[in-house]
Amino acid sequence: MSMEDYDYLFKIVLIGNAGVGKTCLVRRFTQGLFPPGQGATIGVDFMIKTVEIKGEKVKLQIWDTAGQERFRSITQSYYRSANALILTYDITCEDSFRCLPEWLREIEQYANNQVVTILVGNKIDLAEKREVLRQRAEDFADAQSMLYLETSAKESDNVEKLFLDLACELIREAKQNKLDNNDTAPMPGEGKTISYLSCCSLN
Amino acid sequence: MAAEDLPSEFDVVILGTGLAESVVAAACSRVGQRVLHLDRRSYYASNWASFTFNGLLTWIQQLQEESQPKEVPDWSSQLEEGEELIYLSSSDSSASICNLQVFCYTSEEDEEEQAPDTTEEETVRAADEDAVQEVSEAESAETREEEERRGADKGQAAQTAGEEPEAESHPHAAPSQSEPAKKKLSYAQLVKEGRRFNIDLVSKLMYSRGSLVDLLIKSNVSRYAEFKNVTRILTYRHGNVEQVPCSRADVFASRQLSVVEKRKLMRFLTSCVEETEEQTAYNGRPYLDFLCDQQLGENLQHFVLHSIAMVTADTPTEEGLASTRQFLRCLGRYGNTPFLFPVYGLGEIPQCFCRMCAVFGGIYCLRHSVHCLLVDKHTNRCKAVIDSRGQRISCSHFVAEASYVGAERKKVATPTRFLSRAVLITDSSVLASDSEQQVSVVTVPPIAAGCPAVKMVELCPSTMTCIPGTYLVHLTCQSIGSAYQDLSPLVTRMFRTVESHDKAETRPAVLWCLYFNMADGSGTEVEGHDLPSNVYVCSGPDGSLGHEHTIKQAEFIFHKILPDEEFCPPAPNPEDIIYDGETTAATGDTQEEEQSPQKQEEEETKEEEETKEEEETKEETKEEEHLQTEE
Amino acid sequence: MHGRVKVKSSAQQEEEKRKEREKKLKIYVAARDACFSKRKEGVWDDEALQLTQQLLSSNPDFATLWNYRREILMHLETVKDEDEVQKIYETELSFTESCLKMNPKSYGSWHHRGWVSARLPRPDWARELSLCDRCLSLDDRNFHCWDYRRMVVKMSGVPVDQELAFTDRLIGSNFSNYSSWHYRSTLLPLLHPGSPEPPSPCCEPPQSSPPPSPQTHSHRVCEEQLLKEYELVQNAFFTDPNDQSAWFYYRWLLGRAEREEMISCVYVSRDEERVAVVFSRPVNAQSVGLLLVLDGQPQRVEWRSVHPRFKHSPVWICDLPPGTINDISNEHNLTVHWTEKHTHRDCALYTGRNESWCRDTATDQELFRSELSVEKTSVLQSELQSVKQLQELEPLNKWCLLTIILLMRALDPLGYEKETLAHFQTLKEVDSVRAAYYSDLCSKFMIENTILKMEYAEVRVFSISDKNLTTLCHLDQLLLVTHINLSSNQLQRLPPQFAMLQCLEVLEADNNSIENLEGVYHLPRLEEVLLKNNKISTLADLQPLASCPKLKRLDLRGNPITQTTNVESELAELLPSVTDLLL
Repeated sequence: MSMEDYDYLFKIVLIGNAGVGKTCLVRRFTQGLFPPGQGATIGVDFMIKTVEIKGEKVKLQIWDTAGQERFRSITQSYYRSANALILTYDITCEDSFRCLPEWLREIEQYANNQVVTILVGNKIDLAEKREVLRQRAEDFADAQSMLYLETSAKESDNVEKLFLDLACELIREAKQNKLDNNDTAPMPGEGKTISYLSCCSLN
Repeated sequence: MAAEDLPSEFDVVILGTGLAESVVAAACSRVGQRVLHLDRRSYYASNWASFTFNGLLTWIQQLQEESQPKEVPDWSSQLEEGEELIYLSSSDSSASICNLQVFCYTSEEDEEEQAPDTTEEETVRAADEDAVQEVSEAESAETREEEERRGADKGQAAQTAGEEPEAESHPHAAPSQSEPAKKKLSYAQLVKEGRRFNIDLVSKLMYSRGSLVDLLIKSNVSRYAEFKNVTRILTYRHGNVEQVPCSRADVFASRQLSVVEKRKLMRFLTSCVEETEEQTAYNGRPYLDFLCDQQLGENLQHFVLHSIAMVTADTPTEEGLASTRQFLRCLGRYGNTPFLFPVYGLGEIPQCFCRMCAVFGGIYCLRHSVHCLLVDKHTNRCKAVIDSRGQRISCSHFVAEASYVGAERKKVATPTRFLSRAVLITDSSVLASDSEQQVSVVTVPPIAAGCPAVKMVELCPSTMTCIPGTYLVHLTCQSIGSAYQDLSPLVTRMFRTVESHDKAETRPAVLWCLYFNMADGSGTEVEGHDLPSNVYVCSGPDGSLGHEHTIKQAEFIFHKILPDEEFCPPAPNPEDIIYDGETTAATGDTQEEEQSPQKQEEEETKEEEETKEEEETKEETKEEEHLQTEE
Repeated sequence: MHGRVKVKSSAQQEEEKRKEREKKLKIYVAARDACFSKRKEGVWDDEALQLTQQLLSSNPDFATLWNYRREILMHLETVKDEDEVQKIYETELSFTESCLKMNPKSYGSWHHRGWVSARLPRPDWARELSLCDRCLSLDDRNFHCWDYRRMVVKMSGVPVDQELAFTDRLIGSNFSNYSSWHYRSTLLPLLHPGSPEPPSPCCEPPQSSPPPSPQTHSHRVCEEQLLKEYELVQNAFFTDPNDQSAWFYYRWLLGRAEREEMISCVYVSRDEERVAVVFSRPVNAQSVGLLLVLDGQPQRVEWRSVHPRFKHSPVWICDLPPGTINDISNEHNLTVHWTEKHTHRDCALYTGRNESWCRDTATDQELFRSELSVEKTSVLQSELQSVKQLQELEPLNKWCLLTIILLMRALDPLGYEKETLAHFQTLKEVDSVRAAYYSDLCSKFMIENTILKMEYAEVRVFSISDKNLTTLCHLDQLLLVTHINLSSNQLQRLPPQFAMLQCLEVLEADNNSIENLEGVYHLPRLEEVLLKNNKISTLADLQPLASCPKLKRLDLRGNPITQTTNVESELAELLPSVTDLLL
């Protein structure tokens, strides 16, 4: 039984200013916990969660920025093969909202054309400190034809919904472009060992 | 994106995000070193970078703007007892890039519904001239200066210094035939679709069993990128582009080779695999002599020498054979040729290593540089650096790309060698075939004795480096003159430009092209500078097709810094990672939220004891110790 | 800084996997039991489809479950309309596809896919072909896929030329694929049929023949196409002369003719009142409708092969009723009909003659060269030239040497005899593991040459001494031989086929290693057997000789048996007719 136990595999990439709660969203979703400290665990490239949607197993590979956003130094290769982007800001931080156009430019530059983008306003548990009105964010998302969702990684509000909605959307898209079979990626792995000179001679 | 302050203490500070620096960064970070990785540029990968079309235009523009050496502030106030300052080079990459020349052979705007008649050509030409003129003028001063310097270095007359490109001297000798069915892409379209280009500054390929591929696999960095096979090896010969039979299947199907040649080629290659006495007898003698004595005939000699070994006629036999073996060893691992190319361009590779470094805690900061080193006078070791904001950052090791280090620090004053590069956007492949998605290497032997051999790589849109309907062609050779002087004659012969006069309608048309020279990194030595002993210099890209030199250098530097650590051990598979708050597999959703890490660790250990995996427990404890020493 | 990453140890992973496996097994067993009981109850519902799908996706070779699934589907066919059925079967196709991804060599999945494809109301054969192409691009020797593909081609009527182009593609990507070459060999005769009769010209319009489909078989290919094929296959074996698939294909190209089925000889002996018939291929005379007519009267005779070992044999004999032909003054006309093949052969026994036969004047062409049936010698000649060219480059390549031998035999077996023997010698040296095979093959060719020489000389003496023979063959061609000399070879036995030498009187086989005389069996005229210096060691070895009534002289000198005590008396008892015994 060599096949993996899933029907779909999607790469979801998180972006947004430092401190808006990207890592917390991921850990809340994949592990169900809210890490008290900050920053990603060293050495963790991405986290995985397999969810079941309408009987189909969907494996979500969720990539975090590895801290490169702190000094605005995200590598463009980070965006390359993402199926979906979660653009996150902090509703209690006007600045993180104002940076969104800058992030959108990066997406426009480096991400795949068909990438599904969702705007997430995080930290709604801190409603009393809200600086960005919901309506404003919704209007912004509308204008950029993005989905919009407000979450709290701490209270686990909408976190599940965020990823499940994304997964549904990705399945829908995948089914539409079913014939889009990717023929790249000969690596990683050992490859074959066909030599130039002979081909499994039967002698 | 507010910038915070950097921490003030690191183990290793690395300046420059080229391939060698990035590999060193990843390797150090991976084994637990605190790494600060900086680049004064706004983009990753230094001279290894890939740009979108627009990004490339910006890059060109920046280089053309007179780079006024910025006044470096005096940081001597930061000096502590027993320290001295070493200033790093403040000039930008202009030292490593020169002789930029841009030519645009396509019309400025869309030619909408216009009949393909002479009026159209007039417009096209007019636009071309403008583009060419503008660029050349901006360039000429720099070019001339460069030529003179080099001419003096080599005792060679700079015969073509400031010579006007042909396009200008014969502005009306433009191709007379009008384009029939196919509409040329306009410059405006190139700009509009510009973000879908990924144009590499260096042109290299990955040998499928070369050290870069090995490293990517070994370290698991390969998970950050995708690759395409180079699909064919071509060669330019007698004015034609021919396919080099490169696999058993190719030899079988080849129409150029007679059956006897097929046998001879296969037999020769088989015999190359093992070293024989017959071969060693030729050591020191030219490879061509050896090939002649193998009675391969002219066809096969050409293929083996230029396209398989990719050496020149006077390369010694042992070297030629080694290259031939390398080629053969790499065949068939991933495809029919020995090469891979990263999707989105080579610029991805350094970034992948940077990502790995960041995942293991490395801190990244572009547009940020180091101005000077603070050196302990007694130990002659670099204790700290002062960054471009004047912050003092202490470190135990400092690694910098060569262009950050002034040439005056070289222990042996060797003249910088250069590579000549040309980047072309064309409208069709140099050799049409059934499939439009071919990634081709074209080997071009020296046109005449003393001329350099040119390596050409033609990328198709499926490599995500150019837009549908175009090909991206990279030409590279060792410089003799400027890139334009070295490469434009070949471009004129193989492609259709304004300068091609004759009946060239079957050749691909060049829409846009760029010539420039880049410093050849093969001469730089890690410890070849008059610098503290814990400072290491990485070279920029060299002219070879593979990455052996760079990867070897990175490994060398890593072992200098950390003699006892493993170089790039595999990063853990994310599926196998145990997270805090988890007991076993990733199903810890019922865990309490505010559990202390220690408690969880205890639980893990307990559970393992229960399962009587004693050895595992021991390992686990070791990990904990490690963790403590770190905090 | 946060905790360093911790990785599951391999034991932990193992344990997890083990638990996972246990869990899966439990689910599997439960589902299987549920399936079985549902089938027992004759339930054909969606749940059963679900269950079997679940099970089969983890174990696609569970035949019973496929059967159950088919039962359900057939039931659904009766209750659903066509569109629904189409939909159900399409789901079925994607299900088998996922099974095949897991195990591309699963009998069950391929079979089921074939079954579904055949029942699909609106099949999409193009998709099936592309599935096969994908599958073959992963493993071009997957015979399940080849089989399935053949079915698809048949069902969808893919034109032969397209199929030929398909083999072009496959051979282009890997010419070491015998499946592709073989497929090609079945397509070519359909696409470029040669003329049915070798001598007649190729231009006869093939209108009368039905449109070719890959299922009908004929073996000839027109010469123009053949030349192209030679070129293709030469490219392959020059590129890699050690690749046997190309060589096999080459041999197929060189020789595809089959000998015409006929009675090649009828022999009648007055003394023995016996008729012998030789067929062009081994047959079972008891079941092919053989009819013997003597002087216009059908005879009731009992056909038997020359040795009880043979059910199929090229030589059959029968005894005529006593007294029918024993009067030497009578002339008789004999006809043997092979009713099944509508062919017959006459033979007249004239007055005063003791025996008579009728047969085709055997030319070398008919006898032995049918294996290489190229019409024009010039073609063979040029093929020989190019293979010789290869041999110059690869003097030790066995396939090359062997092919040269075959070509030489086709061109001029006697003229090239010396070179052939030299090449065989090289072959035995470079491919020593097959030395015995080459010896046998060489023996065969030497026998053929000797038969040819005998035919040219029109004698009944077959002499082939000192030729390193290791085996005997073509013995059916020696029916009329009266004197055979096999001395000084390396024979170990006289096989049952030897009994075909019905006219043999003298057998010389000194200086061999013979230990078995099985074939010296009921030879009615055998008088003299010379077996000096062989390996006959027991009396039982000589037992077959007892069936030869006229045996008078037997030379056993230099055989181990001569050391046995009482050998002389025991031999006298076993072979009472022998008067001249040399020990």
